[in-house]
Amino acid sequence: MRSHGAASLAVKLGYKNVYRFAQGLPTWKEMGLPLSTGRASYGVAGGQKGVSVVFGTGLILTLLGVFLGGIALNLTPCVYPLIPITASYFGGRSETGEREGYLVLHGLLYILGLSVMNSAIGVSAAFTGRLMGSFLQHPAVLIFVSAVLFLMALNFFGLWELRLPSFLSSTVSKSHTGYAQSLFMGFTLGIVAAPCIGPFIIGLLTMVAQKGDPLYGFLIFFTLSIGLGLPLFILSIFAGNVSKLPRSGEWLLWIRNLFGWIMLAMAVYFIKPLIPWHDAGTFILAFIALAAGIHLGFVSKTGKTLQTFVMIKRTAGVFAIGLSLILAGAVLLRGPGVSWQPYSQETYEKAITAKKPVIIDFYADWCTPCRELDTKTFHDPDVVKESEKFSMIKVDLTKEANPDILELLQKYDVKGVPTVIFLDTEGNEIKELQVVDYVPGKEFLPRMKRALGE
Amino acid sequence: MNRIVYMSFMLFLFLSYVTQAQSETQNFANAWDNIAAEAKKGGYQLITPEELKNEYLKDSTAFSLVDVRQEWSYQMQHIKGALHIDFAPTWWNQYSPMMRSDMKKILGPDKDKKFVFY
Repeated sequence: MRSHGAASLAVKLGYKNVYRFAQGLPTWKEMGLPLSTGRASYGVAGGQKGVSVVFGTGLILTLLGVFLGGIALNLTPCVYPLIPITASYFGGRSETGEREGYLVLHGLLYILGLSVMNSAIGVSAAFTGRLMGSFLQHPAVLIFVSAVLFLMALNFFGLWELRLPSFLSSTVSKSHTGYAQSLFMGFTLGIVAAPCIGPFIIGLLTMVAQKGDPLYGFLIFFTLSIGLGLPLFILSIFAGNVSKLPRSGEWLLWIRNLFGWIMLAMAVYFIKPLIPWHDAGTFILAFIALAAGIHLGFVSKTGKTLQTFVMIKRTAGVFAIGLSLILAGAVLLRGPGVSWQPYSQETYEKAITAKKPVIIDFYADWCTPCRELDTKTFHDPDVVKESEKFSMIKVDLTKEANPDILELLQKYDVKGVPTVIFLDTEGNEIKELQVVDYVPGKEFLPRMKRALGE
Repeated sequence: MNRIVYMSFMLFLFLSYVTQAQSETQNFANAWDNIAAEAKKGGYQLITPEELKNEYLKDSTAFSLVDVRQEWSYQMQHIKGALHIDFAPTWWNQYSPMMRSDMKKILGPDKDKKFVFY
């Protein structure tokens, strides 16, 4: 409702001849009228350029706003994968008996690494005009992240120890290599944190791109990342204190193994989009949960002398095995899903002109509610049956969006993923049916019926 | 001084993005039939695509088109000859003195000139 707000403000300012063209650019284009591209010849936002970093109240206020925005980003699903990894890394690190200050230093290095990497990606996204999330989807990057987590898991299982070459170990003590490791872990996680897009980040990207100053851009994104990382820092301190719990020596090894399994599962999670058969990843995860359950609950010999600890072990084991059954069962017992057509200019135009209503699902692999919609709602037998009366189009935003898709996003005013929109037989959007979060099948079905005019 | 004003304006823009995301989820049910009601409330008029087309083809300089979408949308494509002001739809922007002066600057001193917002 941008044009509404702007038009009414113009009226308030005393302009008498104010009109609103509510159909906007898409209709203009359909009529084949003149268009142009490029920067505003004069405007507000583009007004000041070539300014290097300034220090002053204005900058501090801006950074404060960005920092708060970073904290708010923790409520979005893109942060979810960071939580188990952070908890596992700090809970499973082998350094014991460290003083409080060192743990804080590790946490700080971790967040520093995360912020530096995240800012570097942000700035390069702003300058090349690419979407933030697209970076994570490059297979090489996914394999790298996955490999780091995998190696860390092996470390937690005690299969290797981080050792420096002997000529270095005389000058650098072991705890120093630990710091480098925390920093490196932060760098890796900075890649994972990058796909957090949304209106806030889009605003930042635009602003940094306009400024054209890499240093300024870096400062903005760095502040954002610090805000993003603050809750993770607090989590790392809590997780790192696990070794200070009473009689921890008895079961610390078990805890390390537990976090090792979580790391392993996360390694698979990141490699999942690369597996052509989508369910295979789920089966591997189910298998890991099963193995973890058996290992942690029944095989591991740690802490035998503690009665309560044995109970905890058994409970955790049963829980993991149950989880594995749920994971595998959900896939096995699931019927066929909705048959989607991947988006292309042709499928879209064909769907619009066919005398059928259309459902368009804007989706991305890294978006948790999208996956939920996919595995639950779009596998609901009633939804699947009803979907045969529609043209079903899936727009995959996992990878970088091409100009066609950007145009589509703009046309339907898509703010993020997931977004599911309904078009009637004439190809007009039925705005009130739009879905922007996970909804179960029984709520999705009435929308389909309404779109069909039933 | 100018920079400071600009910076604080950007800050307000950010804060308003956060509120915007919330208010827009509530408002997404806004259908085309609400547009007339909005126009009445806002005190402006609506222009149909046909009318606009005719006027534009007759004399595109007789009035000003104002693009209020995000900067990147404008850069990607806009109506030829349109001015641009990035107007985030928040309650704050209705009252922001910064926004008001920017709007005045862009629209110019002629209060009787015809403006078409999109």
